[in-house]
Amino acid sequence: MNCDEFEKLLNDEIDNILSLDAKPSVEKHSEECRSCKNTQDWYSRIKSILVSDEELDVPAGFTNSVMSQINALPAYDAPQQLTPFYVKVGFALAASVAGLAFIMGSSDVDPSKSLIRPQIEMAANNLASETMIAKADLDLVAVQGEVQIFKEDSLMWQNVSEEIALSFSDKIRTLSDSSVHLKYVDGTELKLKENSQIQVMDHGIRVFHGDSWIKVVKKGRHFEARTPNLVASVRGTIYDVSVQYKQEPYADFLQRVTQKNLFSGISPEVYFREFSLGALNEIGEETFSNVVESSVKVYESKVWVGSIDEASNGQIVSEGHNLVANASTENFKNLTQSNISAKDYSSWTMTVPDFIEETKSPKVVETEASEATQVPVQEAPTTSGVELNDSKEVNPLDSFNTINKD
Amino acid sequence: MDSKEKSRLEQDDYKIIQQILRGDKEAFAILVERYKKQVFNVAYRMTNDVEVSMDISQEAFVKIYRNLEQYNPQYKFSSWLLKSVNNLCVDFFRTRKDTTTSLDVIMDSGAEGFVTGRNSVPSSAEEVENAESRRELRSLLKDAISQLPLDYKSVVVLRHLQNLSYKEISSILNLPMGTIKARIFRARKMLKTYLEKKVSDL
Repeated sequence: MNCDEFEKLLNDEIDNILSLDAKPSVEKHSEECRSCKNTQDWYSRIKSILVSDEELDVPAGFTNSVMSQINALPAYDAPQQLTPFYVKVGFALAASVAGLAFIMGSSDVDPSKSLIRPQIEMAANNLASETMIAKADLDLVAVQGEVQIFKEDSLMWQNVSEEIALSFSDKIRTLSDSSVHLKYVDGTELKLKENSQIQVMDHGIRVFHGDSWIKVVKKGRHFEARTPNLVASVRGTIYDVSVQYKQEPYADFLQRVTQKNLFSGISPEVYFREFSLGALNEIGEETFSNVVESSVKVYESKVWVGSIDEASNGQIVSEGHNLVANASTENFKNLTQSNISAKDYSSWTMTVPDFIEETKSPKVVETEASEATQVPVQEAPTTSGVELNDSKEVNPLDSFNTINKD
Repeated sequence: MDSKEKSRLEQDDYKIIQQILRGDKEAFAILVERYKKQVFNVAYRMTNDVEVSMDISQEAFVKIYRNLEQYNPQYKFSSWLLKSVNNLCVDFFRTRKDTTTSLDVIMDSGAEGFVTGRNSVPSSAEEVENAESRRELRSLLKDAISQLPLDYKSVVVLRHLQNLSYKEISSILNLPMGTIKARIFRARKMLKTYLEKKVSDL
């Protein structure tokens, strides 16, 4: 064991996650190397001081002071406000009880009978029971070429060759000359071209890399596609989301990433290859939003597009038909994942107005949650870093004809 | 608190939230009482200022109340709350940008020792024990933490002062676990370098 390896394992030891196998070699090295022993002593000392540090008592009157501010605010009144909130509850409870294992329905379920609605009603009646489990969600229905799936518990990419059920947080990627077709039980479809990677989320997908085509069939269905710097949220729409890496020479890449000290036991070569493939590991995501370009192309109906920019706070900045929204990474230089807070996410997802009545006029989103300025349609695209252009007429299905299984 | 009790508490939090969402404002006081100490202490470790921490803590609770509809029970309520605290601390430091770079500067000036983590002249453990009482070391460590860049400060505060797991920290900061791990790794190095330097200067 060399000193670098020791230091890495030392951190595991301090955090009590060092494997039993590694323990003897860590101890051996620490006996042999004075400098590492010193580091080890420092780390344990720092930890022991911090852990034993006493907590301060909260100054008196704190609760009263908070409650007087709360009392100045309006009370919540159930149930109308609760409905969108509880959509998530259904899934979340199912996830926690069933351990993220979803039982899938068959793909010929009548799309008009959304499985989400019953969940809402049950949750609103406060029936957090097991009957809410087992809601089908997303199936991977057709594969062409090499398609792989990454499940959180398996810790590695595995090839997929046949129809399988997907769980939240699963990642799916296509390699060269490959594509995949995914279908929700309500009929919403996703198709990925080659060299793409997405992750299944409870509210839609995250697009890590590549081109994804999305068809949301049901009005009132909430679905969003989130790239590192854009959010596209829709009802009853067909659209593309595309994420491309900026071309960057390996040498530049190496210098930039080395400076950030991001490698944790991975060689830069492997890192770069994985990075270029879009097969990002966890550490890679930190630099993610700075090196990608995302775009959303809308073919039918409407899509609300927002930049995940702090200034616009995930707000909706545009709406329209046949528009292309590009988030230039230049505008997101200082953006890190930590800026994308839950607040951004929730104010976005919860405040998209219902598209059931399709008005032509610009919409302004009502949200109490986010205090950011409301941006009406087709204004301020330049300040938010989103450019709008008319897109050419393209048939989004062209490139996917080869994988139609049905 | 064992894990069973924790999970019972989480379920209870969720019941209280539902109660509040049905119009029972007063129930929010239970959540305030339950988490005020943790919230206040995180804010205090981040800002090192009692008054600022009071303000941030109050604001965090009020914000949480206003956004309560959007609570996603997939995450722990306490994680959500701490996320809000962390965001407010970030805002706080952003409005006064002077404070969080000094340790970086120290690192850079001793760059060689920092990069390899080994080349500096070490102060041995005994030396430290003899030369410094634990109390003084504690106060040095407090200074060191207050000078950490914000990204590193938050992981140290959450990991060591609040004893949260990587997973919890990951959901609070909205960052992948690998990033959290890398930051803790680096933060420890910074703290060690800082302390070594201070101790040898004495």
